[in-house]
Amino acid sequence: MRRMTMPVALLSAMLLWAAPGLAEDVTVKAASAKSATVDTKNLPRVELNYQFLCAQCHGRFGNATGPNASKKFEVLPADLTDGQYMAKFTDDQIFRTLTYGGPANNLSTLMPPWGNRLMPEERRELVRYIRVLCECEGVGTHFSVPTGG
Amino acid sequence: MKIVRRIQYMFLLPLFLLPPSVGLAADDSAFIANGCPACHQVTPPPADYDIRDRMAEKGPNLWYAGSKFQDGWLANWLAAPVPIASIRYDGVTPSSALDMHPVLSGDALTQVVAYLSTLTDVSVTAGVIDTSGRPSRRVRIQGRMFFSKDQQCFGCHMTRTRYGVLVGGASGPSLASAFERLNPDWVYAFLMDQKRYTPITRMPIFHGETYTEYDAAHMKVLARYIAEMGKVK
Repeated sequence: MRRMTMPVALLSAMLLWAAPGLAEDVTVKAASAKSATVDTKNLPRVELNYQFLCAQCHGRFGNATGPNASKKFEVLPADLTDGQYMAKFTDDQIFRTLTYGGPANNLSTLMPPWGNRLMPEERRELVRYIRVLCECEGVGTHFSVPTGG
Repeated sequence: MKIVRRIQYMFLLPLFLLPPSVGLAADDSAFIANGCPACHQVTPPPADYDIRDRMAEKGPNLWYAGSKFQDGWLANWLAAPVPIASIRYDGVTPSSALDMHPVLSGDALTQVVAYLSTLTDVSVTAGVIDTSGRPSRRVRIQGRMFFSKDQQCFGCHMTRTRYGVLVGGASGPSLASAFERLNPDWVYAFLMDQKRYTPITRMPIFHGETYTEYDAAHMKVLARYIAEMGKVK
């Protein structure tokens, strides 16, 4: 009996040692599953606007995986994390696209106009946010759009 | 016969003189008892309503439900609810079986529907969109162009093609059977003044700062076109 007790005790000790880890793992998984919903409490305005308006097509992380991104459409939403693609646009062009919609920059009409939905400052914030997502600078870089206009 | 008619009118006249609210006191007891306020507001959003408030909402505000929905649709839907959009009301999270709307039946169903039908909006003018008969060729062609090409509404709203195939995005409510769900007069009022109904929404406003600005005539065509969506021809 004594010979059998030792391995059982060792196994129990190992399980006890691993248990908190397992529990932690489950908690992490639950937390990540829960984070599928957007927690709005501490997010800045630009992040809220992005998650609410842009993420439906461009995806929560900007990688064109939003619920509306479908290959059935003529074009997919722009992958905002693609620095090479996004660097082709100036800040002004992105601002104009956000304001008037895709056709303003010869892009698809699937990109809607947010000019009546967002204040100019909110759109400028989004341009900066997109620059963070793509980790890129636009050609011509700085805004020529007057502040408040 | 004239005397009989006069007597009839005499009885009817006081009804027209009464203010609309008399006799139509909205009984919200069934609405509250069935837990509807946990997800649905029934008053217009306050002036300081912002994006955080909107993202915290679990279901649409129903303060204009009586103007928005077609008679009969609400009762049928509440008795056997099916999701109208394939993602949650936050617009990002895919909906799951756990998100199913509760089923109502019996008296609760009748009372909730009766209550919701009293929640009307005065700015919705009945008969603005004439749905009698088949829409004209101009409406059909222009409507399709506006909806599918010019503004690409189907980028967010699911619709059904003439061959019965479902196409379109997932973030907006499905319009695949809009003809039986939405009141065309409300659709027109909504397109003309979205902020009145939903100050913060994921739908763009197509008049003002847009590449292709739409006026009342455009919106009437669009509302008439949407009123035909899902009809079996």
